[in-house]
Amino acid sequence: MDKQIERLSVKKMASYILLIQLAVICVISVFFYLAEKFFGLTPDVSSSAGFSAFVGGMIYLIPFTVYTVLSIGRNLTNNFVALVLFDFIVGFILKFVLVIGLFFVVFKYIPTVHYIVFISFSVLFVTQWIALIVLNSRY
Amino acid sequence: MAQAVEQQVNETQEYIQHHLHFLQVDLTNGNILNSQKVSDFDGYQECLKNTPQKDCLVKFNAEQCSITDLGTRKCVAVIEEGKSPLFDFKVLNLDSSIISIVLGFLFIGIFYLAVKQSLKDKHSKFITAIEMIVSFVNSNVESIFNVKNKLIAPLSLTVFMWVLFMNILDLIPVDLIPKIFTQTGIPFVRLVPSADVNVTMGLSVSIFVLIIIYSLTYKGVSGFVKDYTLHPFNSYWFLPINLLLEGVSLLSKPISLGLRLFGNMYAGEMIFILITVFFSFIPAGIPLGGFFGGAIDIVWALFHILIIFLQAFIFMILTIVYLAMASTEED
Repeated sequence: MDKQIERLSVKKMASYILLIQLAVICVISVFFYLAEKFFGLTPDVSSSAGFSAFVGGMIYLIPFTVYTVLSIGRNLTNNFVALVLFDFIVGFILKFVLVIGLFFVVFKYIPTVHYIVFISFSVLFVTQWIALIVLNSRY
Repeated sequence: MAQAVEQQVNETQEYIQHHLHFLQVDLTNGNILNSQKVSDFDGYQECLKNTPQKDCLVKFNAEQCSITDLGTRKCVAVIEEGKSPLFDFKVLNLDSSIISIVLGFLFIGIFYLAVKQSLKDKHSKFITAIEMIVSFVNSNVESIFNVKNKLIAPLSLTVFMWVLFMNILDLIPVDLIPKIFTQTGIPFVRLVPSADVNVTMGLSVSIFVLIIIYSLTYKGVSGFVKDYTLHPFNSYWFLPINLLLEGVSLLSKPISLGLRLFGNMYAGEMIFILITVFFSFIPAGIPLGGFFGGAIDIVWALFHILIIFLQAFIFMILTIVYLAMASTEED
């Protein structure tokens, strides 16, 4: 029973982190949209700074969501740690492949400002760490 | 005679360039940098023995190699000057990324097995070795990091073991793995991830972000700002000088941490490659270079074991020291 409660709290924490990251993507996108509007960040009119920030954030969030669902999605009723480890490894590999694939799709097919895509991606990366340290009271 | 020497020099240069090249994929189009796809892999290899590379490429209808062609015995190495960027965010070093991830999982797997066995009250040399590593890291953390924190010891252990595993790959003979992969149509494989500046800087920048997070968590925003504006001279008049001095000292931490590891491992790998060049020295059919190179190789490998452990230890210790500095108030 205790284990189930602990598991539930992990799931809750993961969903909080995902929501926080979604909010961060919105904030960055609005920030870059406004920065472009008032300071003219992108000379190329075909790609928008706000949209690029959104895309960069999604490149991080989509694989991270898949990884989260895979690594903590299983309902464990016993101490089968090997299964958790297996889910964790499969999830991570999938996350890695998805990140590469999404970067490729974005660079090749979606007109974006590349440096803003990277900034947004990096901010999301760091946000996850901060959220983990703040939400996880162990640290 | 002069032509033969020139050819030997060119071959040596190509050999070194090939071994220092990463398997780089351009994320904007999925192409493998410095690699071409040929119609007949074995025919191309035969052709290279007595024909210049340019002619062989034309003969076997060479095209740009793509990421989907890897492992299909089609891609070959064609190194062009200036087409191997050291820093490019649109280029991914596939070999370092995959090898470092695999090593990370290896670390997790080994420690998982050790925990599993020790929970069953089994005693073996393997568990003793793991316990020695854990207690070694733990004693270092306890002696340096005085604030109670549950993240530092696992973080230090991970950093130490991961960097150690990456460094140990330097002891595998330089030609072995690239030769195997070349035969499967993967034109480049650089085995040591810690000899890739992107990996080492990635690690050190991660530590840098943790330093900032720890400073803000333990000292608060005001303490963090004071650290960089009122040190070393405790006066607002010296604010620009303080900011400059402390800013440089803050930024130098991740740069020195990453470049130190990269520099040491790159130099070590380079020396192994240069020693291997000796092996091609065969005067009058006597493999003198083999005897000479083999002897130096053993000596350097023995010395390099020290560097491998030392660099992993230094990386871990500096991580603990920087985080300890970030989480304690200065007098």
